[in-house]
Amino acid sequence: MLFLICEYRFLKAMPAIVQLKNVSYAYRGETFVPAVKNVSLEIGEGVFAALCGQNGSGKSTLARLMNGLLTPDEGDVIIGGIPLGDEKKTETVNGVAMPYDKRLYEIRRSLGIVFQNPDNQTVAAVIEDDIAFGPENIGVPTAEIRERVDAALKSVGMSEYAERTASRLSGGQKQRIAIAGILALKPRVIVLDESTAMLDPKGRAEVLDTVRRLNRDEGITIVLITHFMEEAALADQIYVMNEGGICLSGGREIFWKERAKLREIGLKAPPAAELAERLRAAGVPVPEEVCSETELADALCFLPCAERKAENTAHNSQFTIHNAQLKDKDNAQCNGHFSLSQPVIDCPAKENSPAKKEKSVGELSDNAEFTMHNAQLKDGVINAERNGDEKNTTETVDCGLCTVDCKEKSEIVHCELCIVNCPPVIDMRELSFSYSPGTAFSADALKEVTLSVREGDFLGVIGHTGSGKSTLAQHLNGLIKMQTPTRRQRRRGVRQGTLHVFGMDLSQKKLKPNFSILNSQFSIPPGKLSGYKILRGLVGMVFQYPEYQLFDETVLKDVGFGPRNLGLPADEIAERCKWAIEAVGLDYGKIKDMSPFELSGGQKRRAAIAGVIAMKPKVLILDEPTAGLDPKGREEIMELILKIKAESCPTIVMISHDMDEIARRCNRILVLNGGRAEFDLPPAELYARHAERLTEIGLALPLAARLGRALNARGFGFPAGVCNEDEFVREAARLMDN
Amino acid sequence: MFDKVSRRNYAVKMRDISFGQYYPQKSFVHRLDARAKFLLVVAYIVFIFFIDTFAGYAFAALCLCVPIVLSRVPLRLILKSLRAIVFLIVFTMALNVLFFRPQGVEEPLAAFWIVKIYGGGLMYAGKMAARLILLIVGPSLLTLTTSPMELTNAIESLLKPLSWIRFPTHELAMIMSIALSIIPTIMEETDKIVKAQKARCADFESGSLLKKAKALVPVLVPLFVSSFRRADELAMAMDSRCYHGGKGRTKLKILRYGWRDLAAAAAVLSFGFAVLVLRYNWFGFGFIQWLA
Repeated sequence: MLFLICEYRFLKAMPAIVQLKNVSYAYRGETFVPAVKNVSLEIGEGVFAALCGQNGSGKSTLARLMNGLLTPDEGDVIIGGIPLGDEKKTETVNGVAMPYDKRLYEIRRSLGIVFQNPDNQTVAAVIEDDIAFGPENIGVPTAEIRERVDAALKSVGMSEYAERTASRLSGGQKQRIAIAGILALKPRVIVLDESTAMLDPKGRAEVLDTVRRLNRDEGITIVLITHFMEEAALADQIYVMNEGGICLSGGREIFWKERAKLREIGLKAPPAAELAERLRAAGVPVPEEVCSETELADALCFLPCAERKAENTAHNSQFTIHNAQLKDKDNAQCNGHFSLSQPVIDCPAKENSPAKKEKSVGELSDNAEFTMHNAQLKDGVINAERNGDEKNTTETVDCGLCTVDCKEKSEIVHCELCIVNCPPVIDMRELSFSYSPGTAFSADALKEVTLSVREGDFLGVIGHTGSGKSTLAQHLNGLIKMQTPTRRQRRRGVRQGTLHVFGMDLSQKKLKPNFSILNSQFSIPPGKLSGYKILRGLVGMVFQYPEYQLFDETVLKDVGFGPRNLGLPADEIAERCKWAIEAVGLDYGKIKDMSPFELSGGQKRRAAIAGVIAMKPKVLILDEPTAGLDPKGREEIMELILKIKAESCPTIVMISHDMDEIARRCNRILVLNGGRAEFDLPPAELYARHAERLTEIGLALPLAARLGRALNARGFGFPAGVCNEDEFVREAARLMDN
Repeated sequence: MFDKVSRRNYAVKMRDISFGQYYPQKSFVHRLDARAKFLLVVAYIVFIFFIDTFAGYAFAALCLCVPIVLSRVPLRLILKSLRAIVFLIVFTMALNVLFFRPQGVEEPLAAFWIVKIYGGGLMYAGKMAARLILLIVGPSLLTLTTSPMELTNAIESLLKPLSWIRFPTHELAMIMSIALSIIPTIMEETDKIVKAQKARCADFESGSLLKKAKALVPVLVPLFVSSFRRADELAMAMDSRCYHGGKGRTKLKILRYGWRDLAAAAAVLSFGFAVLVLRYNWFGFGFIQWLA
């Protein structure tokens, strides 16, 4: 007992491992920009802390202050009891005199930072050499370096990659290597400076799992800097930064207690908490403390009336009884698989015998179709309501698109008539493509993909990194030329595909422009331009991180690059630039003469998008348009895309990993897996009928679909086609009302 | 030009190696110390220049087969390294054949217009080609069996004596090492920027040379900007992993000469000795010469 008390007191007396005392820092450039203002912060040993805030709120600066990459203007940084202090002074720590250098390296050794860009952290081409870099720097003996490297690789689960090179790894693996590189220094704290921002969901899950394990098993203190709130919700301690100061701190309770304040500074609660809030607003009594998906699913299950309802439905509907029985057996497993870090639900049926699995899947899909029907019917009603006096847009016969006016509708389900009447804008049949064909390194990127996109479509393309999404997209504007299969490929049965975009046949070496399109939609004198230029003018493409392609002296000139290349007259270029800059929501007068490099991150992205839409494309392809942005930025860009769709460019193809956005915005989803088009369906149908298959591929479902399935797994008769949050709220409310 | 970049880029992506032509394998030659390999290749090149007979070249080629077989590198890859210089070989041969003028009196084998082809010219051209091939295959065996990293380490180690005269050997090696690890990334980036600008209807192919050069601006500016950003971030990552120059640094991999290196050195030296014997008719063994 006494011992315990002593230990307790010892723990109490032990200083926090990360201590910042009234730290301030300002960048000195042409102007004096204060980035961190009077921040005090203490993080205890072994804590998992999260630091969130908008872009530009000073998070990264704070991280850099923590290990002496930046020296604070005021205040002091104390890491593991060692103060960074003055550059010229020697300080005595625990009775040992330490000059500045020694303190600095000791601090950097015990607090490592994993940075944002996975590509910019490798020092050596071979992985083990890279991991050895840290220990080599601090003079660890050779034999011990070897031990440390092996241990570090093992900790991040990458042992088999020791002698490989980093360049071919995925982003998530690269970040794990970066973590290993820090682990080799035997640190006590690891700071992840937005290390998950540039990763795909799989990579994010990998990195988060790794750091959580390190925190749990090895007691390493983690400071996770992020603007994904669901990641922040994993932490014991959350700090929220705004304008250089810490404005909120505490546990997860801040997500419900300080919701207003979070919103004020442009942040949100985690998606599940946001959804819970909306459910409450719709009259579903979900408790406030719901923060994660599992909690939300639990909360919904334990609502008394919902449960009663579930029983009722079970009695009423044959299907639901089946469903409930089937699912009941796997309940426990299913619950276990529900965690935020792994948004993918493992299909519990996997562990069953194949025969049983088939049976259950068959029955499930029956059920799904049944509910699907319901959902469609309902959809019709809703759309009709929404469109008001417009033509009734769903049901079965008329989608309202068959007329010439195919625009200005965001939620479209094409009907049979429509398919006959509106020729597709993009018509791709059995397109195959492989990199370096005929060599040992040949790799198939696309396998017989058939796709047709009509005017007015908002096509979402989903799939893992490397599933062929970008290759597909780059075919559409001729950046990748179509391939004629080699003799060997022909023998393997690879056929020559076809691709027509706006009626132009892309299989031809010299692309012939389609003049009928040009006359009606393009105001440039044709003849001067090559077919590809015309194609690229019609099919605009916004690459991932488009801000990295800005180059000109002023924003105006940069935006005018595309129109200039199209050979438009000067006055039209000027007019289009003005229009495009204003269309993306930038202040034309203020920024037109600024250098694009002076803009903020979000503004740069907007300017880059303006550079594409200034060509007035009729199809806009966007590759991960919201990658790396904070929640507010993501929302703004999505709104911008919808606005562009409504105003100038009716057809959108969007590649994204954000399943919620895809499910909410798109009218069709193309699922690519290993270069093959698995599905091309409207979201409701896709998630109702093929959720299992998507899970098998390893693609996450949207939050609403995941919750719906979780509820069904617990015996609810939740309609299977529900895949966006609006519908989910509506359905949940309906369940409650009954 | 850019198609080439992107094609190579994909090839690089598809392989597991980052740069160069390293062929990973566990063989006698691969396990040799990189420094030893480097020095031995230099010695080999010097010895090749001493050969001046076909018999000598045949002998050298025969000797070269030994490390090739030992390295277990597919012959295809070695021949591939020759493909790059086929033009050079043909060109030198042609020049030699066409412009050979005999020292003494020799009847041309064929003559038309001002071109006279002499037997001696053909002989000379053949020797030239043999020499070029041997000169290429040896070093390419080095790069095929030594990873760029090992090579960097070897060069650093071999240059170490120069640090006495304040030559920044560590820094040089560090620069090479970083360059090796970042080149694939930069190539990928270039490819991406080129495509992004092409998507905005940029034209890199047509027009005069000046126009083409100008067309590169939209690629080079973002590339420079991003390279600087990368360099900045990398410097920060290095700093935060306690990098402070070469002082007090230890190494994960210490290069050590072993029995293999000794054996290889002995083999190469005896090869050189044999070459010299043939060339200068030491011990009267030059009789083989008249075979040529």
